[in-house]
Amino acid sequence: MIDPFIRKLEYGAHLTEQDRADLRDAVLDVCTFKAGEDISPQGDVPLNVHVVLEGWGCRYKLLEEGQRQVVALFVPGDMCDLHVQILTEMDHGIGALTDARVAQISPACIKALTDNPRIHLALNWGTLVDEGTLREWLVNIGQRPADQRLAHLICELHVRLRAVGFADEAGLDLPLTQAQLADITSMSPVHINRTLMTLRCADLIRTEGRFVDIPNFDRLAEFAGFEPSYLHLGGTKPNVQV
Amino acid sequence: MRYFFDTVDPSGARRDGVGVDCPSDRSARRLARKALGEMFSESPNVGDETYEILVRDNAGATVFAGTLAYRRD
Repeated sequence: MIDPFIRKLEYGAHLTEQDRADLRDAVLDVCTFKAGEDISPQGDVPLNVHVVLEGWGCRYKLLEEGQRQVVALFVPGDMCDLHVQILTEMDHGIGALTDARVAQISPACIKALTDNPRIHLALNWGTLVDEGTLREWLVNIGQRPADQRLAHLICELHVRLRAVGFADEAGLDLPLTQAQLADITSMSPVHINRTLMTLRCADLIRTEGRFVDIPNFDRLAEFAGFEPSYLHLGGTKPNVQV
Repeated sequence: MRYFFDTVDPSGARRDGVGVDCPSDRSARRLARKALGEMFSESPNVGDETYEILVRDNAGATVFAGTLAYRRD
């Protein structure tokens, strides 16, 4: 299996065989986390950059009475904050949503990677994709009704997982609980349950355990108003390639 | 603690057999208000409609009961 980290970055720049070898070497320091564990807690001094290799992680904020908002999801291949080590404190937490294998990259290693212009381009592309995704989530949470909002999230995850070879055309393995989906979409778990039922009744999705089958992706995307350009899987402009 | 959210909407009554973990009665009630609002605001609103949520705790005691209704007149 091709490393999902490399597979993702290939969308951002034309990497050479040496670049791929350097990226593979950068993610050798791997830690495992159990579902629910913090990878980088809020308030800590950020040290290393994290790359999810297996499992799912998230970026989240906790409120005083225990409410949690997930503000980003990390699937295999995703990097958490390229330049985080310049900050004095984590203003949010990074946690594992499922059991996960996560690589840690030291600031020195990040420096070496970003000295390579092709890898630098790919990592900058990745940062822009993260920001684009956050904007799309803001629109999703702020403006779309529940059924379209959840359908939009499913479309996005299907595209992201397929891009790194972790899902096929038929659907995706969605290892999240209804409570986690509620924290992601700003909906109550009660309404997540009702909304999943609505999507199933309309035959937009079929569920079997954790697996979400998508009988017709285009139909689901049209229903959700999902337009994948913010994921920038078309890559970067030809004239910025190095 | 686990709380159970029974709902009634125009399509029928649904008893919650799974439940949701909440740290307190207060947070269960907040969740119930939110869920009731979600059900209500996303209704097709085609006539007289009533939406209800009743929250039970593990021991079966009611910790929240709320109703929202649309009227045609």
